[in-house]
Amino acid sequence: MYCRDCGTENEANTCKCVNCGKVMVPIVDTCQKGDWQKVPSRLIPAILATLFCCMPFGIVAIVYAAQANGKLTGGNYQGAMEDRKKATMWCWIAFGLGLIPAIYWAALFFYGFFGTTVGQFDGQSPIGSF
Amino acid sequence: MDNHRLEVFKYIFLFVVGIILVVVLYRFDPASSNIFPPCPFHKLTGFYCPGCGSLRAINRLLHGRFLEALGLNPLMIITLPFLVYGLVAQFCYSVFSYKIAMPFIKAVWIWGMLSIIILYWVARNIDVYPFNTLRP
Repeated sequence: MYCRDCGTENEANTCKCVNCGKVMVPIVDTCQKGDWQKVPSRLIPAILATLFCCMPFGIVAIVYAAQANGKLTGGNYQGAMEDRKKATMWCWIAFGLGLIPAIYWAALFFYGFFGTTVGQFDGQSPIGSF
Repeated sequence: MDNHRLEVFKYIFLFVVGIILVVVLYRFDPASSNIFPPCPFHKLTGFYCPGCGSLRAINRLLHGRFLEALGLNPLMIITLPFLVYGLVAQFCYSVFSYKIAMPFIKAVWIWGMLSIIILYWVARNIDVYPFNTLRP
């Protein structure tokens, strides 16, 4: 069985995951019961990345989340775990690339704030915002 | 420190960051304040992305102006309750080991959501009457 949280393979009937220490829940049972919490999913961060980071990479994460859930329904747990890891990776890429302009903007802002123009704080943004 | 503790700290850290963001979003309007970065996609291409207007919409929502928020990014406002529910469920499970019921979302539904997001993305950029109401 695989840990629903970190994806590490554990022996059957393990109480706690050997890697992260979370209480193990058998995924096979879970899918039959249809309880999302015991089934790994990266859907929420993927949608968050798409609707807030405005980066197309969130879309890739949603694709992998869909594939993972499709494989889970088909009983391919190993494949689902791999897709879930890819979804996680693309979420981080989306959030990371969303952060770069934010950091750049913060740098510009503090330069403007402490440098030349102090009264910029609540002024009109020249290019608009999110 | 074991991994579970690290996980709990991670979620509490994200929670605190979230609260700070909400307070900043309440206090400053992204439409008139320059403390928020511009959308990189919109700045680079001139087109609207599915997330354009999200920050302004949340600012309006925090001030109770629901219809204005809906006008800025309708898809995000419709999705928001589900996202918040999912995040709260994940937070409760990871921090307190408390389980909140969450349905297993079938792959077909996720593909459906994806198509809606992509159609929304395209529709926002069509400058003809019923579609241009989706713009921020």
